[in-house]
Amino acid sequence: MENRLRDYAGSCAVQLAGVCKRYGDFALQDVSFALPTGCVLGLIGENGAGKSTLMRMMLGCCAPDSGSVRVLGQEAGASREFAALRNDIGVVLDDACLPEELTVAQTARMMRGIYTGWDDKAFDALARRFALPGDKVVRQLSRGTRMKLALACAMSHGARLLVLDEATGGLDPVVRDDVLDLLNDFTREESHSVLISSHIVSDLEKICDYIVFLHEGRVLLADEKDALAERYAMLTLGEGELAALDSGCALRILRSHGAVRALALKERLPAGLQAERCAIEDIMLLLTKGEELDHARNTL
Amino acid sequence: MRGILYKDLITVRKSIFIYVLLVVLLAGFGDGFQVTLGMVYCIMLPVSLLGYDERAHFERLLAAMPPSPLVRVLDKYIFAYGSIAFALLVVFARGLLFPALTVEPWMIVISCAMALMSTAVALPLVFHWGTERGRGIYLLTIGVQMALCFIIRDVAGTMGESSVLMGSLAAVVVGVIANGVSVALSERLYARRLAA
Amino acid sequence: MNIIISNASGTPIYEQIVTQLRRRIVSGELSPGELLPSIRALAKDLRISVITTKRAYEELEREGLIVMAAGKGCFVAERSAEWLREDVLRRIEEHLREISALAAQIGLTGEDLCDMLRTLRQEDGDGE
Repeated sequence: MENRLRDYAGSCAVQLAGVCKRYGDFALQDVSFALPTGCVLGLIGENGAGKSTLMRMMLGCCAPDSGSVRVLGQEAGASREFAALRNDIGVVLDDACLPEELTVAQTARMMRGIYTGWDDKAFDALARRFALPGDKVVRQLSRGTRMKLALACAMSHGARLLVLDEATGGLDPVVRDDVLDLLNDFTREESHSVLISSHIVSDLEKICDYIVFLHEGRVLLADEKDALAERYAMLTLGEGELAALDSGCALRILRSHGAVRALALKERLPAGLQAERCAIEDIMLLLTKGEELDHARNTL
Repeated sequence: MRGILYKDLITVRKSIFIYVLLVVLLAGFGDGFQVTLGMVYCIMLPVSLLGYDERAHFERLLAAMPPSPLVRVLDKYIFAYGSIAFALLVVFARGLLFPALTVEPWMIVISCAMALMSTAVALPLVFHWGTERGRGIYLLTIGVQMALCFIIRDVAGTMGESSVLMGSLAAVVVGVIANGVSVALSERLYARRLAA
Repeated sequence: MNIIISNASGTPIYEQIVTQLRRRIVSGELSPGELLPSIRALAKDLRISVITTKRAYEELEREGLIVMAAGKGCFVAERSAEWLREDVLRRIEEHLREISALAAQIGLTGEDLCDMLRTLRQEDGDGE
């Protein structure tokens, strides 16, 4: 499986190289990828794959055991310079995490006193676009409204990088579409980048330029999103057909109900074999639940 | 800093009524012992605010925001100092309005010192352990301070007025220094807790 | 820019863009020298990846249909429509010579050929 973002050479908003971290019985191992400036990168992985830890490293909240994390040209960490750089980073966490006793207007005022680039006009425009209620305190808002508020805040202080950690989970499709629209607009500007982590694949499918698959602390695949459909294909086969395939063709297989689903490299497919289009969700499913073919063959 | 202070000011409006009432009663109308209690109670506001932060998981967001670790803890200390100042104000007002009910000056000074010590000791512990265990700690701190009160009263009884006053002022100085150390310690402990 | 992208079709998205833009340039709908939306603007308007629109524009530039000037924007190439049109006309002429020769073998007149062409185009829905 390929990591095409491992040694990205151009200008990057975020660059991870060889990041390792061990905590409890979980470990991030040799995580390397980059978010090129001006792009949207989707970090996909099941719960517990290590996404949130990586994002906290990018925000300078925790440090890796080894490897480097560079954000907007600086080493992420507890330094004063990086603390100032956080003015350029907009954050939306799952759960919003906003103070519960403040109204929307009071939250904006708080943000004004925290971020140097705070733009009241931009926030007001977003608040209107999202129809944020003026009289309720955050505690009384629904989860969807809270996320919208958090997003409005994150996009109103002149940030160049938006980091969204599971920000769309629990939102209804209409709100999610709104959010994706907004992110789309955010990236009209060449210097704006977005890193979004999620296990809701359909959202990422719509707006991402790059996709990184994380599984059990490792990067299994990192590629341009549109290239995925060109490079990989899904096959549904019987056992016999599977055995007949070249080695190295089927990368992952999943046996279910007597048939075998395989994730395969298009260029290695024998001519005439009928392959289905590869959706990101299929790739994720086979990467997480499937087994590698050689391993499977050895256990037969 | 401004933003976080503003947030805390708005948030604290709910709990502040009870607090103000208590302090006015204790520091405004109580005897020396109760004035001391009113002052030492100053850490109630910072701990309450930390409780709100925890419930909202705001600390996770704060860790990703520009304010430095120092600013994050200093804001809560400011509320403690503000509370002490408020209690002092009440005592002075009482001195002006009801001269008959006055409390001895040295007792006011030593109460200040004890309130400062309370803050210096309790806040790092609350930052380190969070408000669940922290609440028990700060109640313990108050209890210990009040017990110390009796001992100090007895000791002061045996000393002359001026030396008692000197001693109290010295205690305040110690309290101030202790706070300096405390802030630095809290900064480190809180940063470590947020990184975990 | 009314480009229609179909996610369900088997063709890669960049190819769909190339095809549609190529058609418009050749037909003259997009005039030579006309300013095209930037790579980024097009991507955002269509809600697709910037990488894809970049690839489409690079392909069109390789074919000589557009010109990307750094700092200025993307323009339809000056002689592109003309050039492509001439190329297609030349190929049609070659095919017509063949058809003419075949027709002569069985004595079909020009009129008959025109009727056949008309019928064929109606069947195809005017060749789309």
